[in-house]
Amino acid sequence: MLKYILRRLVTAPLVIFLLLVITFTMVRVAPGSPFSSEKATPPEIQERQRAFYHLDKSIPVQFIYYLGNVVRGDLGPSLKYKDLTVNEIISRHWLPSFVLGTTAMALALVMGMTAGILAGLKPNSRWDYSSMTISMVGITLPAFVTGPLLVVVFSLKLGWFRVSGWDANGFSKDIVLPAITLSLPYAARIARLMRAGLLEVVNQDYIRTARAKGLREHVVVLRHALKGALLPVVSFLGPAVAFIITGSLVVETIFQVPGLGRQFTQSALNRDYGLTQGLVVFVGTLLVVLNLVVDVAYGFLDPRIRYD
Amino acid sequence: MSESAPVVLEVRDLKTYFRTDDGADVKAVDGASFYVRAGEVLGIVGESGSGKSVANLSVLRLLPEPPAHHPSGEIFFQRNPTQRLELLRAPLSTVRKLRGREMAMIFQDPMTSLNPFLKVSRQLTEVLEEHEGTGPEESRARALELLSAVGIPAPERRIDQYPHQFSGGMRQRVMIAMALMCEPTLLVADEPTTALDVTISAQILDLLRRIHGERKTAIVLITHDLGVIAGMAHRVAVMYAGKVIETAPVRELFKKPLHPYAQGLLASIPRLDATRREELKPIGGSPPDLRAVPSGCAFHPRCPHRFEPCDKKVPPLLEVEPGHYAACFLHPQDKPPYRGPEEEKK
Amino acid sequence: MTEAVAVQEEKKEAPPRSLWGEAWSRLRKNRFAVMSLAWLSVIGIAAALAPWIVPYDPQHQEWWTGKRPPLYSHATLELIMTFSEGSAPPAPFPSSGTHVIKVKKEEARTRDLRIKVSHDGKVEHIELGPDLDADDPHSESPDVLALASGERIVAGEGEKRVAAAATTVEKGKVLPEPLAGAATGQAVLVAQWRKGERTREVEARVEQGKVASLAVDSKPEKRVEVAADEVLDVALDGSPFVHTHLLGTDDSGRDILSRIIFGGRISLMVGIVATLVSLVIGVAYGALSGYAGGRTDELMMRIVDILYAIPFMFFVIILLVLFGRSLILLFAAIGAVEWLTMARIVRGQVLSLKEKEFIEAARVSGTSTFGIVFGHLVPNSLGTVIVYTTLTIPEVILTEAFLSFLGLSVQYNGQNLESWGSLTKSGMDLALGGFPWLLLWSATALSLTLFALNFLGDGLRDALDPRLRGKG
Ligand SMILES: Nc1ncnc2c1ncn2[C@@H]1O[C@H](COP(=O)(O)OP(=O)(O)OP(=O)(O)O)[C@@H](O)[C@H]1O
Ligand code: SF4
Ligand SMILES: [Mg+2]
Repeated sequence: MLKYILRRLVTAPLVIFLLLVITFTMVRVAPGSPFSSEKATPPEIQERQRAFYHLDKSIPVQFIYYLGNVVRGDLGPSLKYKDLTVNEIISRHWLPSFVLGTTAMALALVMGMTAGILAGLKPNSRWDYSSMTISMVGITLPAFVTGPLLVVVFSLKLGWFRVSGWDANGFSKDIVLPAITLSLPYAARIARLMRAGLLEVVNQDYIRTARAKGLREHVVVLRHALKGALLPVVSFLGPAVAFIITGSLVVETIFQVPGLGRQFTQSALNRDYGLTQGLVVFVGTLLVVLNLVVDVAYGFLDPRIRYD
Repeated sequence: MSESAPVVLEVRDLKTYFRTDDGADVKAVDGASFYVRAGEVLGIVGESGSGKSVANLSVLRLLPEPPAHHPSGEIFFQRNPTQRLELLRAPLSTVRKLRGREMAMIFQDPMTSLNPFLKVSRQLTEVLEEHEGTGPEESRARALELLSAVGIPAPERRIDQYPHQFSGGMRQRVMIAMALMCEPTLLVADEPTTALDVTISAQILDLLRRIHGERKTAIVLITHDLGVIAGMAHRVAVMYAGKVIETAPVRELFKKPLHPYAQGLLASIPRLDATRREELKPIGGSPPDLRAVPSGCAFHPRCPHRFEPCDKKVPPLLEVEPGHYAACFLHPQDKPPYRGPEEEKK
Repeated sequence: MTEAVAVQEEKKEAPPRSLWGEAWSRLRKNRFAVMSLAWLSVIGIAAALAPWIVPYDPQHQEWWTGKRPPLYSHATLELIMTFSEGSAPPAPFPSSGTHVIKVKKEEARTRDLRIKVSHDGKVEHIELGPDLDADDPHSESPDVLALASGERIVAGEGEKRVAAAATTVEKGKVLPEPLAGAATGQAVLVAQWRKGERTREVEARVEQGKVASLAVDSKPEKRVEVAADEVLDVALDGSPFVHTHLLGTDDSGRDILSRIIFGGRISLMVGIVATLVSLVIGVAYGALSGYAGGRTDELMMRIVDILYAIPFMFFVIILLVLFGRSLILLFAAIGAVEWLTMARIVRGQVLSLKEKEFIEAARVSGTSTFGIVFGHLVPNSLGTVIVYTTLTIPEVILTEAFLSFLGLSVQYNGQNLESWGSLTKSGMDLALGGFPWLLLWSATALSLTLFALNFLGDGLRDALDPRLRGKG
């Protein structure tokens, strides 16, 4: 277990470092970047840029300064908003993204696992076929298709929800459509993984043993089958977090959620590289950390890893 | 073994077919009959695919239905002196209550038969908790007792470990302990040693023999290995293509196998006095395709003695010699047919 | 003695067909896969032949027939078109030729409006033909002329005056202020002659401070306004003007079907080319890693693991923003992201293959490493590679659509290349305005294609390796 965790702990900083190198190089080398042509930048922003990036030094030295700043948690200035730093922007906008992301994740787990378990317990039943067909649809339909369609049906036709917008006070029914949109593909994927995992496990010898012991069927399923069947779902959670974050770019755009996803899209479209770069580093680090958490959780779930 | 001990399990004319996608049935068990008396060890031998496992899984109703189905057959289980149950048609819930409690099964591969995600303690105690509602403390005590009985050293420490922390032989011991949790009247051991290496396998057989000696559990011992049968079983049933083609007390069978297939099996046993490999005579040919079993005697394509009636009629299982039954046209056909244990009592 | 009893596994009679032939016949039995293949052929051919088969130029705007539902044919026009000499005609009038609009003006009188557009794209001549079922109104002279505020009056001496408020000039009456000062002489009024809703020059003779006569200038029209509900029929340079839009039109009257077909062209092209890029990188990397084995393999796969952990979508976005949204860059960017899985899969294949006898044989017979990897290992992993390629294409299409949706559609010569993603985006904006058709159609085209590719990929996997059926 210790070795398992250590191995992952070693990779994590490596990934983050790589992330920094790539973003830094890309933003610095790009022909259209504000670092290569300073004409359009207002002087006060140029000032901050120079202060933060040490533009008078050579590029490698600049990178080291930059690295130092990032390690200290300073992601640098925005190049568009005169008096905002990336850190400030993140602290203003992380909450909606967080609320939306976690809700979607929870929703995906609940919907996906329920559907997957029901399908896996009765393979080839009508329920199995219909839920697997629906989940195929769910996997294939991207958020930018389901989102608008949901809006057309539930907001425009039925009038149940606002077309877009986000209640600044946090939880409100504004979250329903974006969260569903965001969660659908993952619910679908989890349902399939759950079903496949269950089918795989149900054919294992140890399930036959459990039955041979005369355990009631729900004990067989809940105690003996579920844990093993959950492993593929758990290992999917790492990528799922990444996908949810990417997906929120679209969903936040569709539903006008004032979160980090929209900040990122806006910053890219506005060519606010300071913000773009800062957000990528922030999100990338977050991802790496979450992946680490998922990996460790996986290790704990599987005694074969836990006691190695 | 006393011939008057009550019959614990009797399987009559069991057929277990598997439905396949293309409609043809796989006739894994095709009219097999055998029985076990209380305290008796019945050995079932036969080559791979002859239906040994399927027949016994049918007894515990452990095969998923569908694809498994039973066009004919009866399975009688003597629960107690007064209650005799027919298992094939009993509700599954009734059979479930017998499993683990009155009939337990040990499987071939100890590496995969234990749940890797649950501690050994959990896997042992749940049997008692399920069937007898025993509290956790008591169940654990019983589990510890059994673990040491099956020869697991330091059971207090081992009980809270996970299966992967045990070696193959140790896991099979755990499986045996698990099967014994409720003191079942019948234990089905499906090739309990095949997956283990020779020394470990000998230890496990010793253990089984000891357990049988102490507890007098009726055992159905499935194996490829006639050596194992010789050392442990009282009676043997030889299976071929889903049928029992010869059954007799062990000594009779080894002394004078009647069916050419059984003769072939015995000839292929390396004897201590036979030092050279050539003396092993494997049975030529391959096992039959269970979707299209050869007509007449299923063994006829491989039988060295086959003659004119063999591919036309199915030879019935007849009592060729007292207590020794065989299904082969080589033997006089006017002998009494197999009728199960009642007949034998006379 | 176990080995004595155990006899070799039965060998099934293999039909004398090739692996591929067998796979193909299995695939044909899979209804979903066949349907997918059919759909993909249709959309693929349509996209390839787009310029020749689309019913309309997808960029062609007919703004007055915007937002029409499927099966819409032009029967009425909505807005007001203005034709004036010396300037370009409004769409959809082609930039040259003589177009005839049959209009119904002035209380149920039908007239032909003839518009001649010269080769320089300017309206050269406008002629509102005589009333088809009444006398020519040209001879009419008004008794009352309404002037809107701001309309000019030009006095005889060239003096210009402007009416401050709406007013009327009436025969036999004094000219209203501020025109009254024009006293005597001839004034030319440029005014809208309400009756015809055309701008005409009207000549007013003023005698002794009073309007003696009003005469409509009989010169040909210079500017005509036609309201859509006045149009009865249009012939563009002689040919009848009946447009049917199978899937309706978007907000600028562009034909949705044509846009979808052209959008598919971009989406599919990106999907295929970027997948090929990922294929080349992934297969080469995976095959070399798997063949090299040992430490090299471990290192190479570790690199893949690390790259996996990086949120590449963000980089693709930055890349497109920084270096411009060129098609080539998009191919490279997406291809560079998608190769990772391909590399893993090919490596797995190669690892299992390289232990096989025929590889050993090739090695012994002195084939070079390169020859073994690309001559033996890669071709033998072909089935898996094809399956995975089929499954990568939809992923790439999705990625491109995602980027387009965010507003990062690819550009070519400064123009946005519209794909299904950007159409979906426009569709969403329109749907919010109550016109769901563009969204529905583009979403349907995109989703069907993604489905089809996924089903086909699954079907191919099952067909090539029946043992895997039902997994995953
Ligand atoms: N679920 C199933 N579906 C179809 N055929 C099956 C199924 N389970 C078993 N069989 C077939 O039934 C036949 C009998 O199998 P069984 O496992 O009883 O053989 P066995 O005598 O126990 O052999 P072994 O010594 O290898 O364990 C085999 O040919 C097997 O292929
Ligand atoms: S019945 Fe005939 S074929 Fe079958 S075992 Fe006897 S001799 Fe051989
Ligand atoms: Mg078996």
